[in-house]
Amino acid sequence: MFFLMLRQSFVKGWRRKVLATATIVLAASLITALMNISIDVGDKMSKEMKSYGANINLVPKSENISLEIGGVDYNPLEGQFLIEEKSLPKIKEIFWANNIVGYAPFLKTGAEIGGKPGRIPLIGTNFDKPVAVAGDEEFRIGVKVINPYWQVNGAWPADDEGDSILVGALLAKERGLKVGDRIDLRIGGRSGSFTVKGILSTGGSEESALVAPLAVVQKMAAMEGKVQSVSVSALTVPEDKLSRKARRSSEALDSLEYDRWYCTAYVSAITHQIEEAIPNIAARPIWQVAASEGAVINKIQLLMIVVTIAAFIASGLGISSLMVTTIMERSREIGLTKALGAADSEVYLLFLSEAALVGVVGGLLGCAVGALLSQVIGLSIFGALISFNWVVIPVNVTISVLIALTGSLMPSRLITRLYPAEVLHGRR
Amino acid sequence: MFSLRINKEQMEKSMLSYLVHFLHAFISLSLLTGLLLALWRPARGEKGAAPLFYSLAAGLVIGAAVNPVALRLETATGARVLLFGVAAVAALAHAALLPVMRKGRAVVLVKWWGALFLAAALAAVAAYSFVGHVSEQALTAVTVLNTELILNVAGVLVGMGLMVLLVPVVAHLGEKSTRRLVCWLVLISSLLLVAQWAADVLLGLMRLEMMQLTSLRLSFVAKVTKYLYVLPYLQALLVALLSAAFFLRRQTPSAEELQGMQKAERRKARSRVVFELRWFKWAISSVCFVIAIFLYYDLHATRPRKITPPTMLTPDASGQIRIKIAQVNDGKLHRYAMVTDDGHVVRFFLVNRSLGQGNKIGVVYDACMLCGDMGYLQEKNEIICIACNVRIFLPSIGKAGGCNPIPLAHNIQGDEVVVTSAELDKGARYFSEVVSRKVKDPVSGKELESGKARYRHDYKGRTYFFESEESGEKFLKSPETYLGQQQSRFYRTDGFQSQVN
Repeated sequence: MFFLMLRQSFVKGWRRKVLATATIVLAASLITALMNISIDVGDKMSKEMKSYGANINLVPKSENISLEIGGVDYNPLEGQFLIEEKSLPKIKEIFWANNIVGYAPFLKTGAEIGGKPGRIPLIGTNFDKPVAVAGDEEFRIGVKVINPYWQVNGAWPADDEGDSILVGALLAKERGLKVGDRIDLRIGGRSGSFTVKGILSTGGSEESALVAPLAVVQKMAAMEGKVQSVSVSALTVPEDKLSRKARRSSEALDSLEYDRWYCTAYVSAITHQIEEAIPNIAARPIWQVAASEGAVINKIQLLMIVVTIAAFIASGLGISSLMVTTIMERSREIGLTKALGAADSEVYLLFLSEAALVGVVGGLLGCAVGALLSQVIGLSIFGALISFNWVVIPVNVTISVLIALTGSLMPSRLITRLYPAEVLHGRR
Repeated sequence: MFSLRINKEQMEKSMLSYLVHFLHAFISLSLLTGLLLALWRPARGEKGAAPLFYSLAAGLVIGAAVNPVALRLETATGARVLLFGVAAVAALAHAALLPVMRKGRAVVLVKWWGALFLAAALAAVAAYSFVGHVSEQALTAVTVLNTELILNVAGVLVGMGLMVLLVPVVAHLGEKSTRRLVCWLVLISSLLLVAQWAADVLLGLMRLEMMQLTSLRLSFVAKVTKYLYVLPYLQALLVALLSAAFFLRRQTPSAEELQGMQKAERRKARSRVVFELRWFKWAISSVCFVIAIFLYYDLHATRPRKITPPTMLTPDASGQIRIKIAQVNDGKLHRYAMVTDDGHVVRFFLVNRSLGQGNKIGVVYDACMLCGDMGYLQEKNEIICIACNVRIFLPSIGKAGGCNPIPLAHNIQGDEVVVTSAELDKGARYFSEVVSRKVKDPVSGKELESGKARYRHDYKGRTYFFESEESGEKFLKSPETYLGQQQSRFYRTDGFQSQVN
């Protein structure tokens, strides 16, 4: 009987139900869109914190303010404080030495190609070079070890080759360079001639740069034995409460906690130990997502909270007024059910389940609309499509049902005030 | 270089853990609140029973507030002792008042206040335990809204819904049952809680050194802690018991009785039967649901990761264990074990550490210098230290340091890895697993079963068994006479010792 009445009310009063659903769809789609974006970034961030590996960047502690324009560092290398290349194997002497998978030193400068004006970034690095470290005879360093996703069309140069170079894919396209071409480079007064050994695709800024063996770049820039920064790849354990506490301030830890932190392969512990091992450097984990999208997301989250509250109130009020008219219109029906022996609570139940049903349908439709909307926002803010997160659906349906229920709660109190005799007689 | 993997299973586990911890903390509260309502609502009426909810709310607020404050002031143990102690006293006092049947005004008033106090104390304890769990686990890793946070909150909300719904169900069932049964249930569940709390308070007092540590007290605490996991099941079973009693006692008018009624009367009687049956179904299904969640959590979700069983090896006559390289160079972890003369099980494993480019075999003990002998696991090409969850860089296996497995001295002879039993024996103290085996009394030369030998002495890390006290005494005076010169076993506390000396 109950379900029959529920169905009848949807069949008979479908216009009003459609209106109520539309109100909820509007609110739900907005909430879905913002929530989807927020969750997408939040998930990426939390995955980053929980991953079992991290990349750490080493830079000199007193690094000069970089003067980078268009990828070229205009600061003269001569005046800069740099890291000694020969101190780097000390990275493999820390407590968690076995967790260091590899590292790659970088020296970045600018060079002119073939006498044409305009400085092109020139990166010196190791590709795949054996390094003698204590207790590990086969340890290899270089970008091939720590960045397995770097692709070379052609061949990798050897680290001891003096005249081979990689050209970034974007740069190659721009200058029309192919594998096997010869190019002349000039840095200040020094120049050299190189063969293009391969075209490099990385998905990063290296694509518009020249990449040469470290020793070559050091020689050309007259910076023998120096490097500017080092990327270290380490196996770590996910961040947890202790590491978060240590990240805030290592003084906050008592001695027991400090020992436990030091002897656990947290990123923060490993960076701390690297800083201990090599003087005058700063080691920082690279939280890619946290650094880039994380800044925007806090604002989006605030916006989301405000919009959710506003949408909640607005559509709640809409539902509320619709409910009042429904009850007024169906007062005879209510009177009759009461006269037949239905308790107030049972009539409540009927109306509230109608509202909940509207909430579920509206929430589901809102999710679909919101998914599209979030793609639009994602494209305009991050320039990328955002994957739809399934967890948004239950959350949104719950919020929609809550909107519908709170909206109908106040008007449904009218039900108690309807007396069968009065209503059926037609006095109200 | 590391791909960001979604760990769906882990997220579900953490959600489930929140749900289960909420249920653990609050099921006793729901049960007792429902029972108290059943005791008092008929006498005091709907409005009169309202103070019960006020004291409940006050208790929840107090419990939730005490935890962070105590943590800030670093008096967590003290606060816990105080809170649990007060709750235990409240439960005991309330239980003692239960059998008092006198109807005097003062007696009723005291009993009512006792019930209010019990509800508040119970709520405070529940809130305190759950808030403690949340602050230990952290709902989320980052401050931005994410799936994990939503799932964890959903887990808590589901638990909350279940526990809130349980209160009216228990109250209704209790009102329809005999007062005697309800009193018994209150008594049983109170006593169960008091046992738990008493153990907690005792442990706290001993920790604070306000009470002497005796073996009797400690064994009481240990026993209660050991069987603590049954408590939530018992509480769920009490609800099941109540609903069974309700089902048996419910009134079903017979066909003749129905015939004799007037039409409206008959309809009412029928609907009453239907409604009562609905209450019963509700109670039973929620009990089943709760128990199913507990079982799933206890039996499946929290089962610790375990090592694969090792292959037992016995050294040949010359005391050597030979393993063909061809057997172990497939990149998998190959675990072996040997039993030493005094019954220690020494585990070690071999793994090809050259990442598929050669045949360099890492030969190591299955124990960590830092974390002990939980062992190592292979999961998708990664070797993991079970105890601390660190991923071990495969090429570094065979080197000491960090959380790496302890290296084991070995030789490569042709296509075989050779490990001597003498070398394995030195590492026996890295492992705690001991089996019983036939041993010889070094003094008298008599054969013994090591598990049954009553006299034993340790010398240089090795355990020796004696048939009598005298031969043990003789041994202690000059062990070298019986054993000759020998090298001590390695201890974890000494750090890694190279095998050369």
